[in-house]
Amino acid sequence: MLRPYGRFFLKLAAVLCLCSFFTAGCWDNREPEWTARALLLAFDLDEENMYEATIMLANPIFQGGGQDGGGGGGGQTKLPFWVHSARGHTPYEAVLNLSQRTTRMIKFSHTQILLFSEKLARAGVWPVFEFFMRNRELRLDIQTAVVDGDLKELLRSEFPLEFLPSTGINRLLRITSLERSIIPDSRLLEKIIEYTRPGEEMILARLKVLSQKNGESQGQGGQEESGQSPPGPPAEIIGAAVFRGEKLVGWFDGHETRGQNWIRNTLQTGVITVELPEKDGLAGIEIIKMQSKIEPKRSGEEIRITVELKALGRLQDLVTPPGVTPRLDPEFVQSLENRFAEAIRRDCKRALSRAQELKADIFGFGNAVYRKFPRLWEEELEARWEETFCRLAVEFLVDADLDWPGMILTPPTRG
Amino acid sequence: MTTEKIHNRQLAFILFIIRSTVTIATLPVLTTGTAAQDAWLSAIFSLVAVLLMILLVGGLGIKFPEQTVVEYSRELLGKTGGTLIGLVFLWYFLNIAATEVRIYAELLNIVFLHRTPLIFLVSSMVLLAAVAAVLGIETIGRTADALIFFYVFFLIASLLGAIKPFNPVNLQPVLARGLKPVLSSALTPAGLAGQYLVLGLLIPALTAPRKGVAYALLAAVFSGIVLVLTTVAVIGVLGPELGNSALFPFFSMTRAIEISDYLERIEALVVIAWGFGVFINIAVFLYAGARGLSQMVKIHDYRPLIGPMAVIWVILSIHTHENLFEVKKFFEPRSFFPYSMSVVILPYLLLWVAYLLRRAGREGEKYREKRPREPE
Repeated sequence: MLRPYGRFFLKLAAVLCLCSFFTAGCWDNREPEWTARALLLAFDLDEENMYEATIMLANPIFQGGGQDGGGGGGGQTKLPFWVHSARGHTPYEAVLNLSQRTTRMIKFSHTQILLFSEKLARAGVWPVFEFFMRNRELRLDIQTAVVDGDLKELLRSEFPLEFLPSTGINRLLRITSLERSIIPDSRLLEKIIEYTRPGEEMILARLKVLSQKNGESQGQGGQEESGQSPPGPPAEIIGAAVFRGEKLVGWFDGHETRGQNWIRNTLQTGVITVELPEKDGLAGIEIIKMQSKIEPKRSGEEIRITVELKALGRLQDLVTPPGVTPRLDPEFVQSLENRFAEAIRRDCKRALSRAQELKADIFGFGNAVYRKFPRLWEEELEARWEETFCRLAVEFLVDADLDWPGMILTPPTRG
Repeated sequence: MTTEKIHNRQLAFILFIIRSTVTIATLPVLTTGTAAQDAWLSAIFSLVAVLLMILLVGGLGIKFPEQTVVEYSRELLGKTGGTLIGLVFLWYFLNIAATEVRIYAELLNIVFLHRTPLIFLVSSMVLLAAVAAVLGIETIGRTADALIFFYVFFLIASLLGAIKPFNPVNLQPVLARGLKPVLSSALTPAGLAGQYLVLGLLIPALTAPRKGVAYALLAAVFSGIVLVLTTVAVIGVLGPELGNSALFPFFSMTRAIEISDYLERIEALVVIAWGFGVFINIAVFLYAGARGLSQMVKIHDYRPLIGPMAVIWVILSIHTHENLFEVKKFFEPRSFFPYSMSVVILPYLLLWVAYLLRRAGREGEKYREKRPREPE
């Protein structure tokens, strides 16, 4: 019974296999020559409250030569990327409108960065997030930030060490958060979760544009003629954009953002400078390890928050006036540890008071309360959390240890 | 009559794949109902439902190790009743499997091949399954043997990828709103346990039918573990809100995973595993449906039925649901659970009652036969 069918299908399979040799390819094929890859998407609002999408496309016909950015003579040299923008009533329409000025089909699956202008961030970023979640090509594992300054200028500028500004911004975001911890976690998915979690507000990284023209942030940059000296950095990543709901309400500076990272256990590494016990010098301490825990406590009607922080630091340098040599005995280390803890506490308190000023619970204290006392949260606190947060008493219990002295113990003395 | 046999191990693989494919596809514990971060508890509840279902279906099946449910329902309930019940079961196979292949086609359509007509995706999958079904249950069993390794490997790889971005905060608070939302989310997956109706048709094809239930239970427990782990991973990575609003949560989760700078986009694994799963699923259902129908109308061979059935299958899967919104609505606990239960549980309860009555009657007869001797 099985035989005749088996033989038939064997023949059929053979025919189909043969067919696959001749019909390889797609019926609606799109040649790679027809496509261009988007690397970065940025959204802005124009004067009429239309969404303006700016895209950075990798230039497919760019020929990677030995030198780049050198001469710039003649029309032969093409930039490795191209930036342009289009407007629309919704983010999707704006993105779609990009195509009528692009000679190639735009593919979004390699987008690495999503940027927002300050104006759009103040008006609300959720529509763009919604578009990103819904779209089949865009992904949520990309980096995102709010641009403080002129978006277009940032995208036109050149990052000295990178081919493409998008790579530059991507690396800037990742490496700064690894090395300095002065920006919050900037993964898009993480931001969406923060937004949807009860009792927590969003906090995005802040990308500050450093103006090249008038050199306001570069000291005497104005005197030098452009082209003569190598360009300065086009952007700096420091601090954070604090949101309430989907709207930006204010900025955090680097210290405040680090405080936020301490509290939320998202800190990677960073450096803290403390004064020496005798007030005759400074010590640089690198943060190696940290752990924090938000513990809500309830006494009657009142909610109190305790943040337990454990930090491990490594001594990196000692700056002392000539002739003074501190002895690194246990008392000295103990005193440094106390100052280290104090510096952490100061970071946290600054972040807290600024957040209370902005009425934005970016630490997720509300979420911690919700997780521990869900009933209380749903029945009472959820509705009036904003005001509760502004008056919230938070205690920081910091336990800071100093570990390695480095390669030397007490610095060698002279004479 | 049945000459083809599958090993009990192959049955376990088939049942495991059938159940886990739903998990990979829509993860109903998270996307239906309101359990949110407690969905993994719903998963445990639904596992209990599946185990009960297997005892119900398989328990009766091993009482008639030589017969399929279509045959013994006739024996138990008479010709009309038995045929009616058989038709109900066949309808359920048709409906569920058609919906499942539709969901798979929708995923391919939404994410990868957004201009390919649905009918092409559906019919190529059904064609493949029909070929397997024509070649017989032995072939399907061996295919399951061959695919299970990849299937499990892909599942494990995707779950391992979720370890790095996993955030336990997303799973808290546990049971904040009591058990009611948890139960609401368990209803649809429990209803989907109706898929295990295939046991009624597969048991006579087993090499050791009497051990079939034990193997089925084992498969259900393993797929239950997969379900719980997947739910925990999805909530931990995507958070309860995004997980709940995603159409294909497991797929969305793997899309969001970045293992390292160089290793990302592992979602292809999920889609391949899902494809394998749907294939086994449809092939088994098609076989079971054709087998059942052939016994109902007393055709000796079920194979000629498969062609027409496959065509009906394709048409149904395109036309039962207008669009994806309706597919989602079909799986709403409020409507799906009662539907599934009335189609699966009620007939089976009827069968059980008939069986027990008959046995009681027989024993009574034996008793009566014995009694006259008693005075001696």
